[in-house]
Amino acid sequence: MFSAIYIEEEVRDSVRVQEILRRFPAVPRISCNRYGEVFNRSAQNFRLQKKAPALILAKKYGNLVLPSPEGYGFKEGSSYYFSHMLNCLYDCRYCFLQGMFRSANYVLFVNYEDFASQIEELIEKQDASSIYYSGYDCDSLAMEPVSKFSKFFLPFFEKYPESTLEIRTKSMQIRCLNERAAIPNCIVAMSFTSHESSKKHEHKVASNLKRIQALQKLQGSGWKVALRFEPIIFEDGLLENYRALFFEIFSSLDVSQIHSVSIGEFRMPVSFHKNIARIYPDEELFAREILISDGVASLKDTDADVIQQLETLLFEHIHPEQYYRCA
Amino acid sequence: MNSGLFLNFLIAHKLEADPIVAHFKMGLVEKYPYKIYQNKEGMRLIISGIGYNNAVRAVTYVAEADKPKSRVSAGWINAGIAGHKTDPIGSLFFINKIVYQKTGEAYFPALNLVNGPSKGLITVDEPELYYPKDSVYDMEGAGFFKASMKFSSVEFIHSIKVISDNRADSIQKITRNLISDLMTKSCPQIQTFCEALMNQILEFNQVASYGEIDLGLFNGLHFTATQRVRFQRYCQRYCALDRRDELESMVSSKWRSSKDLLNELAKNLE
Repeated sequence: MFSAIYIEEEVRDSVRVQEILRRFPAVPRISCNRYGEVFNRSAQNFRLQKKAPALILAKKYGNLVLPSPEGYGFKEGSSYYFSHMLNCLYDCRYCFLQGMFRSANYVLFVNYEDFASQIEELIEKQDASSIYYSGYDCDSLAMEPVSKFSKFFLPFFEKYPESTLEIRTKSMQIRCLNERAAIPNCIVAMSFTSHESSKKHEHKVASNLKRIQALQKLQGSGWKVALRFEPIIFEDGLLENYRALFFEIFSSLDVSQIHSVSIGEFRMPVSFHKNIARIYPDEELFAREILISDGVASLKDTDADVIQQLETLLFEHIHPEQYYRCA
Repeated sequence: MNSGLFLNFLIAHKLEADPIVAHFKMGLVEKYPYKIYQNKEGMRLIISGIGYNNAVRAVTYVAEADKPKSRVSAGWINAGIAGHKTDPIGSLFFINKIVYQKTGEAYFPALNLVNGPSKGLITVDEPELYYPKDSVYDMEGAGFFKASMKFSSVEFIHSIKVISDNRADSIQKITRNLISDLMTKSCPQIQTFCEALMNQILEFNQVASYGEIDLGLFNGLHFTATQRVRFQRYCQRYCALDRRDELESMVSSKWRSSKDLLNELAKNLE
């Protein structure tokens, strides 16, 4: 599964690290002082590493829980995100992580207790009804058998019913959720793109059908689910493709019980776009014309009109109050 | 490096190098300041001399000499004998971490292509006789890696060490024949690894030169360094968008200046 496991000396003896190491007895183990020695060095290639990434087990310092970027999420008011992991098992060609990090290796920050105590501080001192997003720099569930992320954080959030945890994912790793009672303040947000876009851009990811089936199971077990249609990337027959996807999804789920639905266009900081174009010069998506506004690149061919038309299609299925557009 | 060469061996001593030179059918191409060998398959070997600084200088010498000739990336392998406290003589290890004992600087070779046992390496300035840690000991690895990282991506830089001495069979017992024997026996494994590495480098270089068009085609047009980069990126975009025919037609037209050409390429992409 991993070409190597790098372990920060500071966390080597932690129970969580020892459990992970026991799962992979044959993978070479290499000690390091700080994860940046391996993850942040300049002379490395994300595209090559993506073929056989290593796992880095590390401790995260400093501000572990950060205010969400503007426009991220479904509610006005305080919202935060936290990243227990950097990089993703999947290989979605549109993903901004390819341009944000120099390395495709996975970094797992194992000091969950420190994340929890910072969240606790925010809840107690600032705003009990705040929202916490997980899955910004990784897929929250994809590595669950190794990370045991939800096993730790679900009982934690259960203690704070006024706060909300959103787990953003494309993963089928839902056993960890279905094996326990649903928590009303946890939302499992599944991301989708059209079948055509998914086939073209989402490598190593389960099909849309599998994701829909996972959501059905989650709804059946009482979990709140949400739908994230992003990134929207212009393609021939885009409206028809999404019309078909919306029909497939909304006829499979209990629409009244869907927590929220969002649409977001393809966008990322220009510097990330440049980095990705450099490592994937042969990629059609990154050869398209872009619009740059405030340092953010978006696709010229996927403009606001396209998004608006998709919203119109969406409202054939959901109540507008269930919807928000990602900024 | 000329465009046909893309894998460099850095070997400290001629006794270690000879079996590799013979195995890969390399011929001597340069005698001074370093003995350099190469073959027709894109492999080259440089004998650096013993020690950290010699390794840095040898890598820098070859890489700097190549710089003006080629834009392709090269692979680097440091192979040779090394010590370990207990591992048997003849054991071969791919190196997964290199520490220079004098400064503590650490390097981490990638293991994505490695399919054999790997160990950490400690580079020392004086021969190690006691081997205190469960690491391989040599005298060049850290210098080699430090210098190579300036010229290549970390995925292309590797160290392969064959155990020649341990606590039971000390460094004093190493003979010419032993070195030759150990390196000769390691060559098949080194070759397997080289093949995988060369395939990866080839694939990487193909991606890096994707859509490239030779600027030499534009007789009389001058391109600044920035314009060259812009031009090649436009070419990549046309190819990625499956518009190569349009590109070729535009490129084959007559242009008054490089600026005009670039403007037209950009306009046509809008």
